[in-house]
Amino acid sequence: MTFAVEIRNLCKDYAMGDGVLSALKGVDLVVRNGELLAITGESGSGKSTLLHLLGALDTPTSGELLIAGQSPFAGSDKKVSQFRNGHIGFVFQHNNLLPEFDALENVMMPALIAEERQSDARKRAEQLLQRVGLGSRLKHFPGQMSGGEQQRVAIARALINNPVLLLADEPSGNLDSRNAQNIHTLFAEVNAEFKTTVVVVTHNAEFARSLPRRIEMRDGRVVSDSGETCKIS
Amino acid sequence: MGSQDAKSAALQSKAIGFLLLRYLISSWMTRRTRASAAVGVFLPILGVGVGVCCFTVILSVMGGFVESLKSRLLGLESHIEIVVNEGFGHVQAQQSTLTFIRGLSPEIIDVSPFQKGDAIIQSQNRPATVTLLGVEPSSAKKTTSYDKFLQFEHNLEVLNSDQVALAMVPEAKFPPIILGRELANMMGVDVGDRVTLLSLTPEEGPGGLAPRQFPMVIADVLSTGSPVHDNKLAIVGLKHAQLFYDRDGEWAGLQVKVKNPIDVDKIIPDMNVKLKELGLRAKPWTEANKALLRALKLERLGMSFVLYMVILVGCFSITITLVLAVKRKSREMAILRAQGFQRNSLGILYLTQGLLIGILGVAWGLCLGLLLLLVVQHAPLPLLTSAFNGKPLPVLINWIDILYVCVGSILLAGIAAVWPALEVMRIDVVQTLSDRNE
Repeated sequence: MTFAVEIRNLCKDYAMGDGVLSALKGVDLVVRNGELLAITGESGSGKSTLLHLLGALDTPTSGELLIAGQSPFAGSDKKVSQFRNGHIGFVFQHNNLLPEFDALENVMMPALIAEERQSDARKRAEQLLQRVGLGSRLKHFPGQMSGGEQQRVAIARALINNPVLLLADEPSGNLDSRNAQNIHTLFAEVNAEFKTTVVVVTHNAEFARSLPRRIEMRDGRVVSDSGETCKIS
Repeated sequence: MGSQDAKSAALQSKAIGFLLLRYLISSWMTRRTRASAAVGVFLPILGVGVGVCCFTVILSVMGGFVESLKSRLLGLESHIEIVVNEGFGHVQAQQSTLTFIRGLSPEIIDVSPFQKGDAIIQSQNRPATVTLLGVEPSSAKKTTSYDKFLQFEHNLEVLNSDQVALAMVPEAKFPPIILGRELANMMGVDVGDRVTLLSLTPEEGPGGLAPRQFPMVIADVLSTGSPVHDNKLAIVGLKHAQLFYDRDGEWAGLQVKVKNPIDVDKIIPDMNVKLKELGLRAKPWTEANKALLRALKLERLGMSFVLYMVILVGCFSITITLVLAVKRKSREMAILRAQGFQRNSLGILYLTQGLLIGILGVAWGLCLGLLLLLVVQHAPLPLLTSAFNGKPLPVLINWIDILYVCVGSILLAGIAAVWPALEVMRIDVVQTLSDRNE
């Protein structure tokens, strides 16, 4: 059986002057395809580091990480970038969008990076923006949209290449409670409709509790996992 | 699901093109980004363009001036003089020599003999030393352009027949002589006046040592605009010059006209090999004007250097503005990387921006430069025409030079973008995203 994410004894150390800071200290984690889970923890607990490793934005010091059965770190920057483009979608906390491009163009960008035809990318971007409730805001620039709308555009953009894994880093951290609730609902809908595995790093305890699975991190380790433990050999 | 590996081409050209189009062209249309786009795009384009415009205008006007000088030099003098190889010897006046020289190169149009030396001219008012040139009118017309600058007859054939001296009673005819305009003015003589040609070295005569004296009549006046000719030159028929210098059956040399005088130096070595057999050598016009031509070349080189520096400064602004853009857009670049944009593609994006800025700068600079040249050439602007005797400035557009400067500027712009490209490739995605995301 192939899992969306398989992590074995994952460690990440950062050189800090003469010493070493261990951000991750042997994390083991398995995420099934189509799961929706929250990673919580205090600042400095290692959750963002784990998210960056899951997104192949950083490389681990040791251990193994597989996304859809493949290691994202094997090969050149070209290979890693192609893997990221095809398998992973990102939603960051804020300033997610390119300010000189309108909503439609922002959503199209990952498809263009994948060398898709502009017309195809535009068509799918329109569909996704309509799906996230921004059908009337296609030509609006990020500066002309609210924070909630910008996050919806970012979610549509993260979905355009049909990723295996959607990673969100505090997606509602900058939003008011009403907009935050809308974004949380949208993640649940996306997970259900697109069968995309969604991993959300959040401080929002209420949001985390509403998700089917919660992982709590402390001091670079997974200290609790509400989900069913998956044993992998 | 997901895998787009096969589709992701190495260059990611569609995304690069999409980004470039927005960053370079359409971003200024959005009010929000207009100011930064102006700094990031238009200033460097302006800088490169000004350099290219200056280069085009200044070097074309300089080229025009040099060409006009050369054509004036070439228009008057023969392109090559054949003289004896060593010392001040003379060439034997033989038809076979003329035939031999005509056959030296297919570039040669015509050949004419000449006699040359110094002399004194005495008018009623005052004497003057002159350079006396003896030519055969019919052939000299084909190798020089003196007749174009004659004030009255416009024909060297005037030297063929004796002329009547005005204000002489009884009427008498004397051999003709042509004087430079300034020389005639200085001596207070004009066409029809009688002058006496005196040799510099005296000879034994019935009354003891005395200079040889030749009475002559001024047949025409030469006005070239060149002080060397207008102040010093006197032209007589070849046979009179031979008689005056006592060089019957000898020529001082031969004047040669060629098809392409600008490249005359190319045929000189071959000609010299063949002429050596006769004890002769070919002296091109470039040798006679070596110092002047070298000075002009040096001036052009210096000016080109200065103008290249102007373009270089324009290209520096590309580096500065693109480096600033890298800093300003680091988060956007990191987001693109998170979406799968390759590190090399980021580098190519910035290199291409530099090259496109160079191309746009060259394009507008060249257009403006050519437009200014049209104005300089055709519009009667007193400020410009007063610098060139009231005439429009001469312009010679050297397309090869312009091609070099255009290609060079675009390459410089590309080189100027190397540092920003390296900077953007060094962006630490995790650090950049964390800096503002935590």
